[in-house]
This record gives sequence, C-alpha cells and structure tokens, in this order.
Amino acid sequence: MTKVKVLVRGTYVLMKKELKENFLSPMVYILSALFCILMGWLFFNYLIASKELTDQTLTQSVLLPIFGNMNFIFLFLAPILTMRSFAEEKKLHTLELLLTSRLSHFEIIIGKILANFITSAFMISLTLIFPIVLAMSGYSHWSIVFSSYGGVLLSVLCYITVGCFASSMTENLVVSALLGFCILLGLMLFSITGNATNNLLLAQFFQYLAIPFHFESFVRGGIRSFNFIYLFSFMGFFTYLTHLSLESRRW
Amino acid sequence: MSLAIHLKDVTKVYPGVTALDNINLQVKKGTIHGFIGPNGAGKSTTMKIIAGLIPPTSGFVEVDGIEALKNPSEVSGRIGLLPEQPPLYLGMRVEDYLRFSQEINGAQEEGQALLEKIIERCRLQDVRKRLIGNLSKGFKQRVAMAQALVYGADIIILDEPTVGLDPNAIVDVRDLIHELKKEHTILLSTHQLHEVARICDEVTIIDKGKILRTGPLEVIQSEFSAFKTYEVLVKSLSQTLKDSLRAKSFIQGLDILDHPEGKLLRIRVQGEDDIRGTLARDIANECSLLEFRERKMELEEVFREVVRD
Ligand SMILES: Nc1ncnc2c1ncn2[C@@H]1O[C@H](COP(=O)(O)OP(=O)(O)O)[C@@H](O)[C@H]1O
Ligand SMILES: [Mg+2]
Repeated sequence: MTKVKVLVRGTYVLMKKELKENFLSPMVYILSALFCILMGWLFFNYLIASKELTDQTLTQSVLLPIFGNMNFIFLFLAPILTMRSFAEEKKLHTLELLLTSRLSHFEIIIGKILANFITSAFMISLTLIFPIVLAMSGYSHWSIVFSSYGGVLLSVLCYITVGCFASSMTENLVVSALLGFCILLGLMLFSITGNATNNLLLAQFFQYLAIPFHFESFVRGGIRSFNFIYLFSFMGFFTYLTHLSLESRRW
Repeated sequence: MSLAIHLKDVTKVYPGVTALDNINLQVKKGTIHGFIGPNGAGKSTTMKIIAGLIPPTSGFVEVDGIEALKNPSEVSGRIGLLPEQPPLYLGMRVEDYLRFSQEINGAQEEGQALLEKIIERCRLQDVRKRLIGNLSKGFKQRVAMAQALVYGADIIILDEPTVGLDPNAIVDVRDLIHELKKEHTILLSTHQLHEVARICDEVTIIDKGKILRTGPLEVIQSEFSAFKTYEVLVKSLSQTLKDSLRAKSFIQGLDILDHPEGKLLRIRVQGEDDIRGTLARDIANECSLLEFRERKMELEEVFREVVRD
C-alpha cells in the first residue's frame, strides 16, 4: 500500500514539474492557437457544407470528419509537444538529477507522459465549443460526441508515448520531433499496407496494428474490447522501449 | 573509523576503453577526501558508479556498509551528487528547484527547515526568487551544490566543483566545502592539487584508471615534499661552482637561466634533509649570492613526478 503511495507521489511530483515547464513556455500557446485556428476553420467549412441540420447529418458530415482531422493533426502536434521531455533533460544534464533520485524509471516516464497528456487534453478541450454550438442548433446525439472525445484522447495518449520514446533516443529536439513523426507515420502506413494486400487475414492484421483503425471504432460508436487491448498494449510497449532507452544510457 | 564509501576491485569498461582498472577506494566517515587525477583519469566515472548512475563492469560498492548495487533505493538518499556538469533547470526559480530536489529524493518532515538552512549556508538568500538561468556561474555552482545538500544526504560527492569559476567564486565554494565538513563526508575530485592541499584530510591519486597513491594528506605530502626546488640568484657564475654543484649527490637537476641581475640557478633536490644551509654557504663562497629561496613547487609538477614512476 505504501509502495503504491510512493509511486503515485513520485509520478505526481514529476508531472507537476513538467506541467509547469510546459505551460510556462510559449510553445503550448503557439500550438494551441494554431490548433484552434485550424480546427475552427475546418468546423466552419464542414458546417457550411452540411445543408440539412438534423442529428443524423450533423454526425455524418460534421462531427466524424472533425474528429478524424483532430486525430490527424495530433499526429504532428504530439511529437512537437513531447520533443523536449527527455532530449532537453539530456542536453542540460538534468536527467542525471532524476536518475540519481528516488524516482524509478517508471515514475519518470509516466510522469512525463501524463503531463504531456494533460497539456494535450487542454488543447482538445478548446474544441468543446463545437458541440456547444451544435447543441444550440438542437443537436442531441451526445453519446457519439463522448465516445469520439474518448477516442481522440486515447489515441493522442498513444502518440505521446511514442513521442516520449523518440525524445529519449536523442539530445536534439528537432531529431526527437522528426523521429516521433516518422514512427507515427510509419504506423499509419500499416493500414495502407493492409489495403494493398489481397490477403484478407494479412490485411486485417496490418489494420489491427494501425492506431487510426482503432480510433475509428470510437468515432463510429462501435467500441470493442480489443480496441482497448490494442491501445493499452501499444502504450505499454512504447513505455517499455523508453525504459530500455534510459537504461542503455547506463551502458 | 567506519567507512562511508568502499569500492572493492571496481572495473569499468566502456566500449573500447577501460576507464577504471580494478580500483580500491576507501573514504572514511567525516573526512574530506580529495580525488586527484588529470583529465580522463576516471574520476567522474568512479563518482557516477558510487552515486549509482552507472553500474560497474565488475566489483563491489559499499555505501555506509550497504551493498549499493543491490539496494540502489536505500543508498540514493544517503548520497548527494554534484555532477561535473551542474544539473540545473534554467527556467526554475532557485527555491523551486531546491524544493523539487527534495521532493524527488523523498522529502522529510523537516524539509522546509532544512531548505532554509541550506539556502543560508550556501548564501543564496538574495537570489532565492530568481531564475537559475539568470544567475552568474558562481551562483549557479552554489545552487547545484545546494541541490546535493538539500535532502539531508550524509555523503556529498563533488565532481570538480571549482572548475571554470573565477577566483572569488572558488574561494566561496572552498569555504562552503570546509563548512560542510562538520556534518558530512565529502568526496571531492579535482585536477588541481593545490585545492586539495588546502581542504582535504585524505587524498587519492588516480591516473589512467589506476589508483597510484592513497592515504592521509600529510603522508602523501611528505612524499611530495621529497621533491624540492631552490632558486638561487647570483651575480655571476663560475665554472668551478657549476662543476661542484653538479657533483653533489643530492642535487637531481640544475637549470641555469638568464636573469637581468645575473644568473638564476634552479636546483632540484631530492631527500628529506634540510640542505639549505650547506648549499647557501657553498654558493656564497664562490660568488656573490643575491637571493636564495625555496620555490614552492606547483603541486602539478610534484604530481607529474609521482605519476611518472
Ligand atoms: N560514456 C562514455 N563512453 C565511452 N568512454 C567514456 C565515457 N565516459 C568516459 N569515458 C572514458 O573513460 C575515461 C575516464 O573518463 P572520466 O571518468 O570522465 O575521467 P575524468 O573525470 O577523470 O576526467 C576517459 O578515457 C573517457 O574518454
Ligand atoms: Mg571528469
């Protein structure tokens, strides 16, 4: 019991520090502004394009594409958000401070992932204005909105895990961000590979490995248990890789 | 006296480099232990191993009698490390940084009191609310030292704490180290010997991953003092004097330099006996002696002598 308490405490301490760092730097605000402008413009366009304002069409022609786009944009934003997490600590030698402390690798990694996740959640929360606007025009299909937000958050969490791993591989921020993109884009390509094969089993296998495939289940409102299993094992895998990467610094 | 740090047959091999070759090191509790060696000797590597930052390739590490490699979490709170590169978050305020260091090392109940004490001791009162990135190098170094002290570790490891500081800042850091002696065991690395001579009780000399000498400062120093250099200024130098000096058995080397007032003899002497009297008389008999002084041999030079054989 006390062990769990210590674990939570260590994670919390680091998360607090990371959050402070994130929100004291202009990066978050620049990214948020960009994100808002982009999303607002998309929302406006989709809204104009959809002629009849019924629940059915609003879901189909506005919400689904909006969440799809949000997810896609975070493919780029997440590695930028996370690029500092380990790379900068290495560059400034502060990683030694963390590694000689009582904190375990696990606490360090989870603390950083959570801090970046909360930062992303803050950015995503700025889009809550869309459902509110829709509500004013009488939209009432809330379950799909909830599950879509859930889907976006989970898939962004995956991106952040990958971004943190990329950051732990290098001391260079640009390399870190690019590496993050590349891994995420590479994973996206799985679904295209899936489409290109004639073998149904192989196609399904590749599809299963791509995050967007699972994300779609959330947006369509057809969440299965294997979606969760995939997303959590994905995060577990990259958290473990990050741990190995930190460990390898010790030779 | 019990040991704060005990390394037994520690070897560290980096890919292609043997950084430490079977070293044994004992640091007694309550002492300031100087760890001297030229760059690349393996000082930082040793300190990182003690602090648990990297594992040794083979060997044992004991901290306060605890097996450090098997109980890393037990040991981490007992050791405060100031790495070679001060690990500072430049965007944090001094106070917040120190509190963060307390928190990640398991803050105790009396944390706040300790924080105040360390801030005062490191003389950081005036800068406690300032961003670390805006401080001068000397202050940064003191903040980094405060970081190692602020969670109540008994053993403090300082890796070249005075490198790159201006003379005033060096004095400050040295005073601080001296003050810490009352409550802490300190392992201090440096490549400048005169620093060690002022503050250390015990000294270990390391070069190329091997321990060359270890022991109380006086013992090592007396070994050093076997090498002495006298500088003698004479108006002119006769051949007979030159020959007679060269013939003396205790004179190891004789350099003759030009000097505006005549000739400067630099005489290197080995042995414990005080031969200044005889030497001065001999020279004064032959020519006019203007000046006779012992040249404080830079410990660097002495060090080179020791390392040579
Ligand atoms: N991470 C590393 N990888 C490979 N070699 C290293 C590494 N760190 C140190 N070394 C080598 O180990 C030796 C000892 O280095 P170090 O302990 O830093 O010496 P010092 O601190 O006494 O200057 C040097 O030859 C150095 O090149
Ligand atoms: Mg060094």
